[in-house]
Amino acid sequence: MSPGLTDFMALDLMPLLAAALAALSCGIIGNYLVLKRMAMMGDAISHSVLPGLIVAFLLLGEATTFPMLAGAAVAGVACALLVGAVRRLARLDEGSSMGVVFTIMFALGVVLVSINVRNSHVDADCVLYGAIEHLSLVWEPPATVGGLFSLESIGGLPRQVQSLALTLAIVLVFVGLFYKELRISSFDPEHSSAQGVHAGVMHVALLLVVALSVVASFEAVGVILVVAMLACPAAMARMMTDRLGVQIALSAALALVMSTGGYFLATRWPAVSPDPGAVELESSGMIATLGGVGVLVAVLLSPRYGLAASALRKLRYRVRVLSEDQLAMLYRVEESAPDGDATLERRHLTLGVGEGGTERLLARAALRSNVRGGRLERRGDQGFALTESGREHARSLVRVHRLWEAYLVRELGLRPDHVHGTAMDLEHVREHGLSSELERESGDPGIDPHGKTIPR
Amino acid sequence: MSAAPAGLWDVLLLRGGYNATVVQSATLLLGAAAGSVGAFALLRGRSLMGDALAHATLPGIGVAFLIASAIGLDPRAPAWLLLGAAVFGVLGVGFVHVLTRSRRLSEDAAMAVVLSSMFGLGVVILSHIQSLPGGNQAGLRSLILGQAAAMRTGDAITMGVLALICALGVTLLFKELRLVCFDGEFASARGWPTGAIDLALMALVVTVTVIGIQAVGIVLIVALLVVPPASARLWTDRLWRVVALSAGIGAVSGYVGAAISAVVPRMPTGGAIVLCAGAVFVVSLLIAPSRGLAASALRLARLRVRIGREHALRSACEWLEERGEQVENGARVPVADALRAVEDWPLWRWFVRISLRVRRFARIEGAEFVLDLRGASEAQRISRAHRLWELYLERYLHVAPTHVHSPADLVEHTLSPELVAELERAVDAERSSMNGAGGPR
Repeated sequence: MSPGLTDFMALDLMPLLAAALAALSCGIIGNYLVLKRMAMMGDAISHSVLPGLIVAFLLLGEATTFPMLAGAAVAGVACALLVGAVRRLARLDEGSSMGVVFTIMFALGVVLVSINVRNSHVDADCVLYGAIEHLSLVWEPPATVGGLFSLESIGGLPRQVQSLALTLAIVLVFVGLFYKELRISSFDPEHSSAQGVHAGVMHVALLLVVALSVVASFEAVGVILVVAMLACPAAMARMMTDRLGVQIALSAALALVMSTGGYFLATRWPAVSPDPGAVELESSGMIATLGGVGVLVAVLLSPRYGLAASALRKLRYRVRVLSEDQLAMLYRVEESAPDGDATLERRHLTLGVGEGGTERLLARAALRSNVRGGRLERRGDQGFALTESGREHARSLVRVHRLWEAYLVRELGLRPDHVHGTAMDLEHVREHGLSSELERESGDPGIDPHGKTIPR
Repeated sequence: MSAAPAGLWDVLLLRGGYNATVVQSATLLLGAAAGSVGAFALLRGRSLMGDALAHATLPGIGVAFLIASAIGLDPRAPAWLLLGAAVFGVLGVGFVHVLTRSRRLSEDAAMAVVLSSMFGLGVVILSHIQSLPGGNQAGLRSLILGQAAAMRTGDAITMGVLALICALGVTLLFKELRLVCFDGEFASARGWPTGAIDLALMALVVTVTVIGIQAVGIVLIVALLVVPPASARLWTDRLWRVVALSAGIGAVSGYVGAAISAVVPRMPTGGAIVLCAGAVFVVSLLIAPSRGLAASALRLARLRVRIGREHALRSACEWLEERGEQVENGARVPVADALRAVEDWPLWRWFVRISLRVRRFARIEGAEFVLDLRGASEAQRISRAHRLWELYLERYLHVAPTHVHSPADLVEHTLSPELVAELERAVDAERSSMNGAGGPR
């Protein structure tokens, strides 16, 4: 075995495994928290780990792992239920009741830890940040890579890694068995109860699994950063897809990328940093940072729901509206011209467009797209005229416009001099078969409220 | 608790030394400012924003430290660190805003993402600072859980002054904040700049959060914004009282919490302050006059006793009618028949009996239930309401006659005299064609 690999196995394998397992469990179950608008509930639950641990410790009088973790899980569920109780009893909104419950619980934990610090095995710092790097200290790597997969070495894995693996298994079984129930109760709790899936029971079961994931993970990443694992992968995946199954699979993949990427970025920092004195950075913090950056990138750049994409869509729509307005304008000029011929200059075609610089730019883009699409052709130096296909297009636009005017006057009883603006907006809407519906409804009036012929 | 150099009373009475006195006064002002600002944040539904932005300040503190060391300033000057914190707090709020803009992520998911990942960035930066020569970060980590005892007099005075300014800001903007909290849409329809008012509220939240970091710490500062107003809200519905009470609760918690942490060794100030506020909340939740648990339990109990009483009277009335007897003063009904519809739980039955007795509706003589004059008319009134409702369900909602009894059983207790009169009018027209009695008059 090469020395590099030996080092990797001795130093990195266990922390990496723990980070990946924690990110997977939290990332998968976090989808439901994000869907149910309970992401901050993850935060509240994870804060209650501290009082849970310390109260269990004080009750037991000794630091034994599993009872203390059980105490933490109980505290997590109790926190979630208390939030609901306070919301109902004190008639507060969800956010405020969370703020009340988890801060008081956390304060209790901080105070108990601090005044018992000498004889307690609970360290507030460790609870806040986790101690993922320590995992390599409690594990003796086998001599070969193959040795990893022997029963003996799996049994010899650090306790945290074992419990994280168990947690991941529980999360997967839970999501797999109750996929349908979780889906329906997340999207529509009332409907779900009507369908015989008890939303309240599913809610508590979900809280229990979240508490379990948080408790298993906090030793690796700390109670605040575990929130990043709950929220970030699901938020990223939600920006990319509508389908729950795809979202869960994506979030699992993203959780893996986020945890391994964050871990390597933090631990390999001395190698990539220009500063020779650089040290390894806190990997849990780096994982969370990476998650946040990922969400920001997804929100900005996601192809369907991203802010950039929707800005682009809006821009395209405005250009289309402007280009259609230009065609309709030329058509109307042709109608009133005695010889049926109309040539307009650019400055006329961009008339009525707002004064702003971007509006002008968009109007020019619209003109270009009309010329390039063969709907307008240049006449002489400055002028533009309709081509045959442009005239066809313009005729249908003017037809829809005048049908709308007729419809608005007849069906909605608007005054004839009040309908032009509305029709200007509506003529561009083609979605959902609106114009064919309009054709059917309007019953072919022949002329519009202003006495103009409606072209066919 | 171990022995302390000064007793709690000494410190509470400001005999704990000059520095302790200044720090306590400052936390008192902080509590008052956070309580009043938090009241508006709570009413505007922005309580947890304080949590998100508080966590987002950690990288700001780290960055401020790095910049200060790079340009040769004192990197531990609190004013400088808190300036960095404020900048990143605002940045955090901005990120939450950006993330919710796509409408795919709800505000709570955005807050969870910003809170945790910016805190993570802070942890990374602190771990980098630790490696710097002289970069002992102990001073910075204490900001996470807060340690008022480590504050210098000057810092405390700055904090107190800023808190005072925040409280003044709330007073000056009282009318504007009230408008957006109760009806933001109405306010903007009336031409109020609701966006600017919201911005001012967020600025106040940021200021309170940042000045509170030293004393209470990043993780718990949100408690000062949420717990006092949540407690105050339990006591009153009037806005200025909520704000004043919340400021008062915040001030007392800040003062007492700081005193406790000065007296008890290793007691973190933030935890102590929050626990004080939490104790006020728990007590308020129990005993507040109308929203408190005790008050609502009492209301519920009284309602149940009234329902039991009315059921007993109606059963008696029905028993008498079945036998063609008059429902009048001194009419006698076997106890078992009168109380058959009352919940079968000894305590309630006992309460119901007492209540019937006290109101002079009926008394129990041996195994008989004897109606008084008042009881007879009450029994007729309640039976009448019951039957009118049954009739109404049959006639107008076309519910089968066999299915009207139990809904009427529920509704009879809530029918007001006006409603009974209306029901009477509604069914009066068909009274003649009815089978059986239309109900006792």
